[in-house]
Amino acid sequence: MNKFMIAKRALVAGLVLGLGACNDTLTEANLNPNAPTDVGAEFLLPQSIRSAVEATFGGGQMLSHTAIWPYQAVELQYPDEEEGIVRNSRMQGYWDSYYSGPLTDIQTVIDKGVEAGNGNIEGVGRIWKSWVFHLVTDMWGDVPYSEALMGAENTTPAYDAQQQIYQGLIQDLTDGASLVGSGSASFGSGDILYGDDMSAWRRFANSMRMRLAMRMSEVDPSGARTAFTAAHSAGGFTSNADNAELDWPGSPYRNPLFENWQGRDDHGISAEMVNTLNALNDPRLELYAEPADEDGEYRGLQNGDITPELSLAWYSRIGDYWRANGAATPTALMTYGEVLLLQAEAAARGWIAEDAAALYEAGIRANMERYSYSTAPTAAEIDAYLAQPEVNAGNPSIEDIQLQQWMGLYMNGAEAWAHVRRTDVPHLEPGPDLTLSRIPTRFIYPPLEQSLNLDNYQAAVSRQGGNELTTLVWWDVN
Amino acid sequence: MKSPNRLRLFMVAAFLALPALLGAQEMRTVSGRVTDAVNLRLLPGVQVSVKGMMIGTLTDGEGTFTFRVPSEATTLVFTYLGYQTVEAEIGGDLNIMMDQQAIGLEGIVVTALGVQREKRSLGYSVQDVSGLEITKVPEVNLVNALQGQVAGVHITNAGPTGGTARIVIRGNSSISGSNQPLFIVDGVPVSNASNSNSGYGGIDYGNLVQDIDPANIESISVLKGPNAAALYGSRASNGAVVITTKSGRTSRGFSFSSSFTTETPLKLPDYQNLYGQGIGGDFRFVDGEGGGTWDFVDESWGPRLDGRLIDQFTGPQQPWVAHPDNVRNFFRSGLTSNTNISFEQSSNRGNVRLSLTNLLQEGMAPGEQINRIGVALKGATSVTDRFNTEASLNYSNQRGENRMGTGYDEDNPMQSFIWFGRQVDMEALRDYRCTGAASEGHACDPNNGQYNWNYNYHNNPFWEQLVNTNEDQRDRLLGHVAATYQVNDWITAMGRVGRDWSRDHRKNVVAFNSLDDAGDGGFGESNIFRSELNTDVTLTAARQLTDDISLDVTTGGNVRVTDYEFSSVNVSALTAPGIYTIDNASETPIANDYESHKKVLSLYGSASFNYGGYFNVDVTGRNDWSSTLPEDNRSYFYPSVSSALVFTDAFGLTSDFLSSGKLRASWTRVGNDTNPYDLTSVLTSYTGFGAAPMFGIPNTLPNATLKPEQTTAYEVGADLGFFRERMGFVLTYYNSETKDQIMPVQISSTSGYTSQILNAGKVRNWGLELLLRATPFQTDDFQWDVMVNWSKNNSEVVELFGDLETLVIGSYWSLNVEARKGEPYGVLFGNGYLTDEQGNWLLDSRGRPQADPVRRVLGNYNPDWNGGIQNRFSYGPFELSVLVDGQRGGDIFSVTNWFGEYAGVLESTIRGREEDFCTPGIVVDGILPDGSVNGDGVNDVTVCPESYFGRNWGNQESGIDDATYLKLREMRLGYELPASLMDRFGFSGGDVAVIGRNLFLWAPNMDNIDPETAFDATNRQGFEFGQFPTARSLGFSISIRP
Repeated sequence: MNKFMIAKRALVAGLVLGLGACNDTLTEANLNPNAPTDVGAEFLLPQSIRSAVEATFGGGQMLSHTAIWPYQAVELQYPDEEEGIVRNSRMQGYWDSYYSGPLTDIQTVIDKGVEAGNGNIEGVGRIWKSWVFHLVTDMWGDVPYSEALMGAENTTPAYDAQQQIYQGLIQDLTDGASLVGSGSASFGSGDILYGDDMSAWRRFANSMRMRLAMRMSEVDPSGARTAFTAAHSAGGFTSNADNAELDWPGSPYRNPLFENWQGRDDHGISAEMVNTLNALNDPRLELYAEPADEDGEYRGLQNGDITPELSLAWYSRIGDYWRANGAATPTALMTYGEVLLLQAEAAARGWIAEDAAALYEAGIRANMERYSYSTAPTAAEIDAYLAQPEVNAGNPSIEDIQLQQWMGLYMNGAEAWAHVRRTDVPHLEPGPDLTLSRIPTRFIYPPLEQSLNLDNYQAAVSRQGGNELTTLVWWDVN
Repeated sequence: MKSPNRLRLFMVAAFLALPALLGAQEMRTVSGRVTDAVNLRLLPGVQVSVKGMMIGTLTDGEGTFTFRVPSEATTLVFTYLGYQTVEAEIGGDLNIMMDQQAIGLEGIVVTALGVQREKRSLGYSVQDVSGLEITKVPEVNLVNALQGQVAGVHITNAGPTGGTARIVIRGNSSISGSNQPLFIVDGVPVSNASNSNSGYGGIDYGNLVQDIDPANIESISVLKGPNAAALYGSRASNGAVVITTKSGRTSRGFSFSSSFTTETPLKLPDYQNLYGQGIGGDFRFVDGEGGGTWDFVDESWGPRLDGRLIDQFTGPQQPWVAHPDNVRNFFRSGLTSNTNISFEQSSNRGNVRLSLTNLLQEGMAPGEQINRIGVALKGATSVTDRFNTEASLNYSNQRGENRMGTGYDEDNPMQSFIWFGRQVDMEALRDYRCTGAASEGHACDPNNGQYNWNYNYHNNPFWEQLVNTNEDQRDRLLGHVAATYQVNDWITAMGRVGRDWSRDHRKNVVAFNSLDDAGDGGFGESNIFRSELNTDVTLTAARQLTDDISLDVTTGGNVRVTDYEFSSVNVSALTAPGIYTIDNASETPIANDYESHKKVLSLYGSASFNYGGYFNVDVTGRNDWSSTLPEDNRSYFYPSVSSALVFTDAFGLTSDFLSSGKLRASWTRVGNDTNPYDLTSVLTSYTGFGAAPMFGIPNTLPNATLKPEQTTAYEVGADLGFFRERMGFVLTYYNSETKDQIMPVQISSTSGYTSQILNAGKVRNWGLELLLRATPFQTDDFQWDVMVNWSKNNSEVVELFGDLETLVIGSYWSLNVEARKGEPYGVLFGNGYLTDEQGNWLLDSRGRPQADPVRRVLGNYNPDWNGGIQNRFSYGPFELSVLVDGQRGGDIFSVTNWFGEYAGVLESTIRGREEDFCTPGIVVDGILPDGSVNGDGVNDVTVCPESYFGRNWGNQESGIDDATYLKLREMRLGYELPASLMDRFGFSGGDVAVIGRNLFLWAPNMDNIDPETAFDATNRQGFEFGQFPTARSLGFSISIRP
């Protein structure tokens, strides 16, 4: 072997050894040092709750869409949504802010619960997932549900009919309610909604079952009744202490309405709300609204009328409880008052054997008592209110109950919008500038679905009868 | 020699040792003169060097030279820009005649690995630009300096003063990765990173190649295809811009250049001046936030500007009149001053050059200022006859202040001029402090208050610039050390270490009483560290095998280490006003950090075979091992082959008509890796919610089985010279396909993720490039030269992933830029007008057009073709050069136009309110819901302009226009200072000139904006909003040559 051959072999051997060592170095260089790859469910749950609540109760989605169409808030400038014109980009944003955020996170929580055999984790996960999904389907109608959230396994999920989604939601809530409390508490400080109180989650699940059951009252009365009675006997909220309310800890997590007020202040209170409250001398008026700058009167603005007669100083804004003083105002997802009024309606419909009038009065009280704020109704005001014959405290009609429900759902746009669509109470007249045949009854599907999930999108559109703002979702019969 | 410290020590040592190396040998004096072979003019500034030695000088103002050379020197080499290189034996008083080269085959270009190659031997397309060429009309951003100069190169300017320019060669081939070429300085890759700004706001800090001072550039070679760049590795698959910096060339070295220009807006939107702020024809100011009549709105649908008295922000009952130049008056004249001095020295044992640059830019926006200083040191020594060393060090420090914000954000005053009251007197806003009486109802703090025309949506634009300030600073060090050892007369070994190192610090503040932060201020601060270290070792064997056959072989290896670190802190409320520190935060500061690291190991080789000096075949190969790919797929090999035939020499075809001719062809394949950490995902961390730490699932699905992407390309072309090289053509056809692209593929978010990293997609680009150079007219003292470059790129998205029809590259205001199967890359996809099958607009009951809910392709941002024409006329000492460039086609979604119409500020919104607010109104041609025709004079529905232009929501088509333009890019009238005068001061020459850039714009189909526009340098092009006005600059320059 000559010197050249030796050198050559040494070189080859060196290269082989060198590359072997290099492989390890290269693999090591690609380990991501920036964040963990996996954490416990207690770190994912708060993010799921926080992000879903921020998406639903913020200035963009709620004040410009879900709160103006049930005539609670009103847009003062950029009143496009008052005219029935929505921006595609916002539809996309809202859609994504549920699916690729809180829903993925909570699905991971559920998977972890199942894997660990931890009923609390799985149960809370399924309850919260149902809360998020009921928003999504109430807003859009048919949406991906059973095939959704599967990651790379299915990137073009089919859209489920809303009727099937409702069955799934009620099933998850029912299962979730029986799963929680079966193991030790599991989330610690990560349960930012209920502080790791499993029985509170169970009551929330049963309350949600009542809400969803009642939603089906027009499209499937018997199914609705069955679902409602089951939920009712399982037991929902028993006091305002049970309310599903998210408390905001302070910057950077403050009430999203306060955040909106900080940036821009484009919204007022609807004339429909002010007039209804005024008609019954409702003590909530000074909480819900601020007096007009110009004359100190409470004056709402007509929804769907983009050129009001007076300057804005003559109109009331949304109450400071949600605006200037709203940084720590809790966001109410579902309250005891709502549950009582749902039960009152069920009783009035003859679904449950309870006293509708007593539930009605208790519901109004609960709704008025739940605020702790300087302009909140006092006990004397509440008594005086209920004493008025127009309130029909002794003998409420279904419409009285439904009207109270609408008033109580102030600043819970998504639920108020669903409520008005189901009940038509109060009956809302389209404003003069609304360009649609009726007040919007759903969101339109986001534009990317036409690019990325076209076949399923088209199937859903044809099943649902269109992708318009005025297309009716399954439970909305007229 | 990894650290800059050692590098610096080395440089200092080299510099100090230099004088000792001088005059060590026996010397003799050589002298002579150099003239133009045709017009017999003496040529000053020609470089004269001793072949094989590092010694040389320049001819003086009379075209003569005298210098001392070692006694063993035999041959002198004469090089001069635009002339063919001449070699001559030393002896007597030399009289050298040099021929101009139009485009011919003669000459040297720098190719991959810094290898100097004769043009005639190259089988692929390389185009040269000399340093002199790009500094004649100084441009502070090197990328912009190439504009209109190189065929096949497309440059788009994004930003405000100091902003980003995007460069793409031969079209976009990567769907989601960078499509910009790799920049190489003296053989070492350098970063050209830039921020990816959002269309919704951000500050454009510019692209990093700006740090390279054009005054230090000897020459630039643009290697256009992946063909040319196989040896630089994957990143050069989009082409490479290979920069050689200046070395010491002469023993008497001092040169000086300086330029001063002033900048004014080239184009601002055409605003209307008939109606002021308001809605429905009404307006009255009380507090600017809703207390008056529409005084909170930022639109111009108010009362007619007829001089009536109205309460305004300036006081009660003020005349309601137009201020037609209010936007123009916001801007000031910019000033750019750029000065460079350099010292150089060369001897037979080495050379050194030191250059100092100071650039000061005062931008057109108030307070905008950029200051860059640069120090460049480069030197080489021959330690022994066989051992040579070389080193360079470029340090730059850039400081920016008050850069104007971009995009749809309050930081961008152009936003508030779209959402604006046309009656606003800009002069009244200049004093932006509130004095207490400005507005009732609006709290006014006399110390820190703000005075404005609107307190609902906007800050005073001067406040935005001068109070809510930003500042940034970057220190950057580029350097290399290299050593070559001549093993024997045909084998050379080389080692080189090069580093690109930079640190950025950025801070922006929001003052108390600003609109966007509840009035209690805040700030953001970030630090960025970038580093790339390249180590190369090569072995080259070059041998003349027979009289006709020569073979050059190079093999080598490279280790590349790239590091990136980012950290930031944001504070959204302060305790005390004006103190922007973390300690002064009244809310929890939000901190972020991120780092990434990457390593690539490579082995490469090339062989060049030449027969008879006229036929050449090159073969290259490279294997990379990248840390970013899975272990099984991390190694990938990519080859290239190219060939050139000088057929005029091979077949003796040279004639007076056809003076030279070369045919070339090449084929290559380039592999590519990906970003760090695409294989597995980590959770997204969030600021804790009270006591609860939070993590979320990221939005992108990783992929553990990625394989390298692959670009395959070929090109064929011809280089032809005519009429003794008075005219020449370079013509190239190319085709490239990039497949298995690694990218985040957008997926339906219903999967739980918005994107997935995949190997997917195939994009094909093909096109033609033409370069023409000619001297149509030439006499003893007059000469006219023309250079034309033109290119047309076509692209097609051949396939994506599975049945996927489209990939969304970016989206603003619901308009997508997409890679759509079967379409060219970069289509604009969105909602158009609702039409019937004949294309008639379907109107709503009020006679307004509607948006089609079914989205469709509305345009494409890529031009049909682009090009430039440079004409140069010289008459005696005078020279006039004019560069015009432009593009045909391409579409821009202009949100300035879109929202400018919605807000009623643009001239076009006068339509329908010529007489009064709603008179005569607008009758839109189309079909009404009842099926009747609108616009036929029968029962026509008339719509008020406010209502008509308010229809822009949901319909992006109304904002899309054709971006065709021509620009008078550069103009220069120069005067060559008398040689006798310059000689008296010891200089070879000098000139003074009047210079201008972006002097005129012709954009026939694009109102209100300059169609050459972008938010950033990403692939998300074709959007415009609140564009910073392009600077028209005019000034003078002076330059003294050594």
